[in-house]
Amino acid sequence: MRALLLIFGILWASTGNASELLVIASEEVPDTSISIEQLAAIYAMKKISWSNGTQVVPVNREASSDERAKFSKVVFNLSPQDLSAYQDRLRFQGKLPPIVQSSDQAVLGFVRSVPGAIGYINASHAPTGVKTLMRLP
Amino acid sequence: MRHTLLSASLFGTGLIFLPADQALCYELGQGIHAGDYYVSGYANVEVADRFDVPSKLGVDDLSMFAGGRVNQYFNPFTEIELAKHTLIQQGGGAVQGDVVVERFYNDTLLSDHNTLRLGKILTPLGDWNLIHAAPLTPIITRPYTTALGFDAYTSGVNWLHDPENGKTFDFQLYGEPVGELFKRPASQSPRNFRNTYGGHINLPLGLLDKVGASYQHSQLIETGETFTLYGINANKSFGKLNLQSEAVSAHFSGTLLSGAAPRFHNNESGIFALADYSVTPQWHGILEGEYYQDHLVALPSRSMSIDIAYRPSTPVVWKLEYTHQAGVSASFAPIQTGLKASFSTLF
Repeated sequence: MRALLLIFGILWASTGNASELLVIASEEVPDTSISIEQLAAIYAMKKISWSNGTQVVPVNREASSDERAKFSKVVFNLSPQDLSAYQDRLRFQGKLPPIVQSSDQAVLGFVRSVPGAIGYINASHAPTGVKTLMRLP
Repeated sequence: MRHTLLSASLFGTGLIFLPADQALCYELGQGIHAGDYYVSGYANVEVADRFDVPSKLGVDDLSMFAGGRVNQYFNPFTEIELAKHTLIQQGGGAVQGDVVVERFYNDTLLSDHNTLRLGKILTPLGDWNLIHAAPLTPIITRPYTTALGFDAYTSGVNWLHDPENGKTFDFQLYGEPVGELFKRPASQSPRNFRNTYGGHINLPLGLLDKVGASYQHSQLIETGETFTLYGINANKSFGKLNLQSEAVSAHFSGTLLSGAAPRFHNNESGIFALADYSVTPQWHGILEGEYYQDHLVALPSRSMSIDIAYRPSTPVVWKLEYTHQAGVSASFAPIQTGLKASFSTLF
């Protein structure tokens, strides 16, 4: 019984973490943390370079993912549809939009390999080879 | 002209085949990324059943745009489209569309928040002119206020200021010293302009909400008239309800060239207002009304549209629209009583 409770407790804790997001960036990014305002400026395509001049390369999860829905809500207080509509407008106006990757592993691989890249993944992962700039509740 | 078009097309399509140092992941509406470049586009197919004119099915827009962010000095962008191509028309006589270079420019990044743009651009005047692609607009029929009375495409120099915080003013200034680069055919552009300069300023009220003001001075090539235009625009959401409006007023002066159509008014002005209610994230009901007085037409256009829009996903939209014209259409792009339906998608 105690073992069952322990397993249940671990699963519960792991589910809690899974609803959080980690904001990760390439190890070449000079910053060690980021504010919500700076994160919003990056995904609104208003902040285009890091403090050392490296180009910011934001990565999005696919539109239907839970991670994107959570990111849109926490950072912009918008639905993923509204944020996508905004980014579509910017794309039409000639701004380079965030690149889409369809899994946390793909985001992690992209951010690890592209200087200046920033993305978000489920907090249940323990990312290596990248910087963790922020945890989104 | 043909060589220039070919070069522009090769630039656009060639990007697809560039070696990519980043993984490609295609999602409808997101375009294709290849390294520092991307290719995207949109299509809009319309069926129109307007009273007193033949019904027709056509490709209103098939557009491809390509851009890149390479370094501080080289950040090209181009958009080429097939416009107003009629596929089937009641009684025959389908109309061939035109291939048009809508935009062709390069950005120099003066700083993170200041860009110098050289080439052919969509004129920053109001909001709608900058985002007029059918998948991005709430209704099918574009209001006159957003297109007719000003130089909507300028070729020359454009300075953009866009602060990072998204809370203070962003603005653009532009000037067109000579005339339109890649001049559009007369069927697409009955009014042509030169000696254009102006500016546009916005105060963000959130990510999507804003109020703005515009100014433009220009000369109509066909008539020799000059005009000075002032405009305002606003966009504000209240939960599921989005309200937007634009208004322009232009004063025309100068002696008309011989043979030019006489003007009925010295002022050309218009206002439209639109309410978009999101019943669900997919289903929208939209009500729009517009008053527009063309300076070349004695009586104003007074139109009202009711639209239903269905967006199964963000880049795809089906629209059904009923328009009632209680006045007289303007001198170009008639807004008439009748039905329209459209399917549009970003790709």
